[in-house]
Amino acid sequence: MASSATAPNSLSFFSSSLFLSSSHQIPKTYISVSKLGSGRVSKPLSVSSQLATLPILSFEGEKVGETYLDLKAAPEDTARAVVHRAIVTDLNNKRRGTASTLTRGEVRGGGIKPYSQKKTGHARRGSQRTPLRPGGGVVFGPRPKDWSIKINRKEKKLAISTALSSAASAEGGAIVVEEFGEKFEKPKTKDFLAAMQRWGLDPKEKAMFLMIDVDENVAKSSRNIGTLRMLTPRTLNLFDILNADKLVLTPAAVEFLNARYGVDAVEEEDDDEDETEGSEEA
Amino acid sequence: MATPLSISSNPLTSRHCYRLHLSSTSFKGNVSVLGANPSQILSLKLNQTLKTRNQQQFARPLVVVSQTAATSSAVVAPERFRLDNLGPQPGSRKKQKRKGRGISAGQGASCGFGMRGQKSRSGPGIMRGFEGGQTALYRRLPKLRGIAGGMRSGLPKYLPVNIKDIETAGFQEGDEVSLETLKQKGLINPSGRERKLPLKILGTGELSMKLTFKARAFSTQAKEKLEASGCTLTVLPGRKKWVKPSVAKNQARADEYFAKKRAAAAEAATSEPAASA
Repeated sequence: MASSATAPNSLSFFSSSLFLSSSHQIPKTYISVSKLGSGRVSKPLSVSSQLATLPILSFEGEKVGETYLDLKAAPEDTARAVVHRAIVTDLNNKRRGTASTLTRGEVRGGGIKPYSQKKTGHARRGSQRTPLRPGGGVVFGPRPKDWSIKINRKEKKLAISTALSSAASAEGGAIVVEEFGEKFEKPKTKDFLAAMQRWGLDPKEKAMFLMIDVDENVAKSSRNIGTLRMLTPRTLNLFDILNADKLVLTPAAVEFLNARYGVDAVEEEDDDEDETEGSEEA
Repeated sequence: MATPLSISSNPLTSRHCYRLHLSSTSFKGNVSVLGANPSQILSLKLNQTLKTRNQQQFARPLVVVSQTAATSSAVVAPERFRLDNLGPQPGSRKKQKRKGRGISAGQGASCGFGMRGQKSRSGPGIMRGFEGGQTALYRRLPKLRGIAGGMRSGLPKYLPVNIKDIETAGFQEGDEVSLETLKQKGLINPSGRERKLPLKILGTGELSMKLTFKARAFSTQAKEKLEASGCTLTVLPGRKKWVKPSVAKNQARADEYFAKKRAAAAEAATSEPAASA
């Protein structure tokens, strides 16, 4: 009786979700196609969009629904280059450039001529710190250098949304888990690993979690897992998106991504947030 | 990996719906089950065929792209962007020329500088704009021409004010019109070089009251109009030219002598009509 009662509920839920997703999907695709066409006429470089449907899992691992991730993405012919430019910018800006060597004029000592120029039979030598000798200076060695490079703000946002869209569109690349912040009574890594197993995540694979707020018990439980990255909207970055085998989102995170990097994101708000972000970085 | 092959996203709506439908119906709530589904494997093969065709289409225009496609198809890399399958746009990055390393391609030996001449020497080259000793273009032409160069003939000599402006300025009967009063009324606001210029009254317009004018100059028309309306006109003296003290003294004595002589002549003229009477 209980099992027969459960089956119709799940069936109706599946049918309703199918209807919802299908009805939602067709207008989006149509809009994106028309936008792409009109974009190509007016501007040479346009932004396309990909609607990705993600399964929602409960804390116990059952599928309880579906949601969508509708993000901006660069055109197919330039998406690879855009993401590459952004990741190169991030890695270059991370370089400290502190490598330093001394030239023959900076090495201590070597002031006096070791022996006379002539009549010794040896090669002439003016200093004990010549680069040819052990302990001498270094010619054209590394010096402190600023490796930072600049990228346009909108281009960087486009790269992040393109990478997220690519991960979400890949099969099994991204899943959504219900809010599990309060599900851990105490910090215990075994509990978190068990939860990951229930969600279909292999602890040996790299996973990236995106949550709006990371609970303290969740942070402590997952801190010791080397292949796991727990990110918030503030710490979201391109390297961890590209480095992860799987993306795990929460419904709130999905809303944030659709609002911030989605096709319908408001430009003015983005500009204000960008300015705030810029000032914070400075 | 749970799924060894990744399914590419199709731009066509129907295929997307089809894939969505399949995934939605076959998904039972656990991601690990997906790998063991035979229908999933079949759909994976179908999508692999589509992906191959798509890559072939993509590989036609550019050789570099075909190389990338060949590499990806050989390794069966996932389609999503990872750290190891990114790269710059084809043609956007060029390698720096390695000069002076072998004569095979033409940039060895003298690295494109030839063998002789000033431009083949090390150090700073010829400065920009140099023309071999002749006067360079930027020195053959004047920097500023005309009035911008300070020519004096184009500078104004007076501050002009018209009668119709004085009429509407709010002067009362018997008031004095001068440089100071015009400034107070706000008619003129000289600044910069204009602060040293004297006042000149011009004749446009009509005046309906009697005023006292003090200016350096009056135009002919203005003088006629102002005298006709009964105004008092005072021509202010100009700047006194500096002369040597001795010359000034002589000038004063000459003025005194001629004034005395003029007075005597006037007196004689006065007595002569009486005699004739």
